[in-house]
Amino acid sequence: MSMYGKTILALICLIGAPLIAPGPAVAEETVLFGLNIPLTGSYAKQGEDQLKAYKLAIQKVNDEGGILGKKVVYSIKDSKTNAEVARENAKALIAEGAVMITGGSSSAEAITQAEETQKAGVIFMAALTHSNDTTGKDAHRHTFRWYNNGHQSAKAMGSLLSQKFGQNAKYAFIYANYTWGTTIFDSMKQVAEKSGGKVVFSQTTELGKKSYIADLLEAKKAEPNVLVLVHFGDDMVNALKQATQLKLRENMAIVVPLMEIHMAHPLGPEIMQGVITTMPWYHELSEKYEGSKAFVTAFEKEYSKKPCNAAAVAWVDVLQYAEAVKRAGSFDHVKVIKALEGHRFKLLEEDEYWRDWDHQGIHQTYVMIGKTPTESKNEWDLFKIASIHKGDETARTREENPVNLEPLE
Amino acid sequence: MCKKKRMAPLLTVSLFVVLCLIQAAAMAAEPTRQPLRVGYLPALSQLPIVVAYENDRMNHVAAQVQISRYNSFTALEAAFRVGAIDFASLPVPLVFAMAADGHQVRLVGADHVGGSRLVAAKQGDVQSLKGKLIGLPGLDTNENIYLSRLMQAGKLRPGLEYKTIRITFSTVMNDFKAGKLDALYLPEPYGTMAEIEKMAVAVDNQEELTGGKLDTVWVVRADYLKGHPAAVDEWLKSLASGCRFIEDDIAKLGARQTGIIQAGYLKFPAETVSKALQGKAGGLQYAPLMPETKVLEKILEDAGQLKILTKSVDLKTLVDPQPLKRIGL
Repeated sequence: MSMYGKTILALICLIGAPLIAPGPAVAEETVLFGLNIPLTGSYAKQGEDQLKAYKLAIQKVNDEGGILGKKVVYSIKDSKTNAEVARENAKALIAEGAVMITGGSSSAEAITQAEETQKAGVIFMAALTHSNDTTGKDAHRHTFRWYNNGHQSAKAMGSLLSQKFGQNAKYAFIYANYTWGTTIFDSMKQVAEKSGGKVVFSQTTELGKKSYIADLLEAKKAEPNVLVLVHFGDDMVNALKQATQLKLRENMAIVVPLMEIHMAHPLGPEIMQGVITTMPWYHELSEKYEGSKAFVTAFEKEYSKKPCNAAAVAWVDVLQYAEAVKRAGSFDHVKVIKALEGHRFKLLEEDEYWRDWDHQGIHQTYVMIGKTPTESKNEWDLFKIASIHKGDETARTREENPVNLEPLE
Repeated sequence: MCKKKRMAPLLTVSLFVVLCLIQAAAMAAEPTRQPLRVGYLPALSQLPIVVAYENDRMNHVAAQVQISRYNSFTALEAAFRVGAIDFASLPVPLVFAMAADGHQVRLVGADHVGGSRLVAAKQGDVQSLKGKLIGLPGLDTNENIYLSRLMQAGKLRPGLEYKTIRITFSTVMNDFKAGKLDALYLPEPYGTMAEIEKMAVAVDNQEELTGGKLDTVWVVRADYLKGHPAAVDEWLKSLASGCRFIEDDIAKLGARQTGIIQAGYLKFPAETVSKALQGKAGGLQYAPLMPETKVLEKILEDAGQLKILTKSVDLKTLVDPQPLKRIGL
């Protein structure tokens, strides 16, 4: 070897000694997870946080010895906030040999992935998907969804809406025109009408729309007491910002059925104050539950920020799948499904479980109200918990959700 | 009534302006990161770029890294020369050539050594290449210089006892398969790919070529570095962690994760990448480093002898060790 070669190798040893220290003689066996998430499009911010949590959870699994002696590797696909792209990605991940696919920051994406994984006999741990359909009319035996759904959000908000706006409240809805928006609209409408309220205006909008001004001005004409904005991600940020700038909030309250922190963070307490919403998880639960504390601490240490609830579900999905495989003693999809169905666990709260007949993850739903600038202690402190609702109290009953999952074998 | 009529257009225009302003404000961009355009090639020596991009781009606060794929060093160099990219990992002689031509560029480090191998259709040592045509990634690359040193030691003169030709990465395997080339001296995994397809074997006794040679170096536009040092530092940090990630993955998982990541960018079969990386083909090792001046001077001298360069280069101006120092390396 030349003098230069020796010098360079010495330099590498000096700089990278801990990095390139000899590993095992034979590389360990691996198993592939497919991460199918929006890294571009309206829900990209949620997708980014999901990806961060996936990586963190996989690192934890690997640091603890992997799953049944196999280390986890992952393949990432950008679903582009588009259901058909998500479907093609799922097919590609299945072809690559993924034993489990997880992802979806839109319900439409989750539903197309669920269809493909069901056909292929691959477990799909649905992430951020809030449509009733995901564990309703589009439920599948290979799909599990921890995130709560529109029915749960609407039911949790029911009493607060009734109490706050009275029995004769007038509601206006502007909602996203796809499975999530339409099922949330149905659930919220039912709740509003059940409490004696009346829907005076409803308007659908397309995913990814930038300007809601015309829709908001139309809604204003109906003179509602409550404006319900059923949007998510950047779409909700735009809609809420524009509603505030049009000064609509001087005459009506704003309800956003589902919130995650990245939507509120760029708006700040000035705009978020007083907004009524729900969440399936919030980073402040780290003060209440050990599991949430462990997750938030690990996430903040790695990424120097608070995780959103899209990250929380990603964390749950990876760790729950890994635990299920360990309990099953096998990666066989049938055995893993059996290990998940009805399983009770404590991961981010105290009492969570996978319902066996629709694969809905049952845990609490939180009704939240945006804090005022005075109440907010820091940039991530944007909501106060108005009420906590047990999973079984808000989830659909079997009668309300008459799904029949495919037989296992 | 008349006054109201006159006021109507004014009110309409005012309302329109207000709505436009609202919309503009609503769509206003978030705090901007500085775009950093990075070019890369389909070669394992470029892995730190794609791994750093894949792993860290969402965590960047100063740089908004955009990566673009090219198919030859010539194309990558051209992109740099015309200002289409701000950063690349380029062969040292190409960087010298750009500096000699008056382009304001800065050499700020490197992320690997080794990684190129000489493979031939027929088994044999250097002498077996007499009269043969050898494919190179460029005539103004380190590969050409190192090959000429090796062949010179075997008393083989370029142009007389052997010939070289510049080939692009996108066509090399087809050209080799078609018998248009007798040997290749290219960055991995092309040698490994040719071996897997049983088209080639490694040339014997080529240790001189594969022993931790300096290969490509990081080069950044001088005005970019001056104007946006934080963005450059952030990106170099990511490249350094990319090196760590790859070496860690090779040791622990047989480079499978790296193989999966590169599939979206370099588009090599994951198994080929794992094999090449596990075998440290071409002595390939990843770590951030600042090339020694005497090594650069030797390449400068060789490049002059091979007539790759016709002008000298002021290394003190070209080489800037500060960014690596700033990030603690």
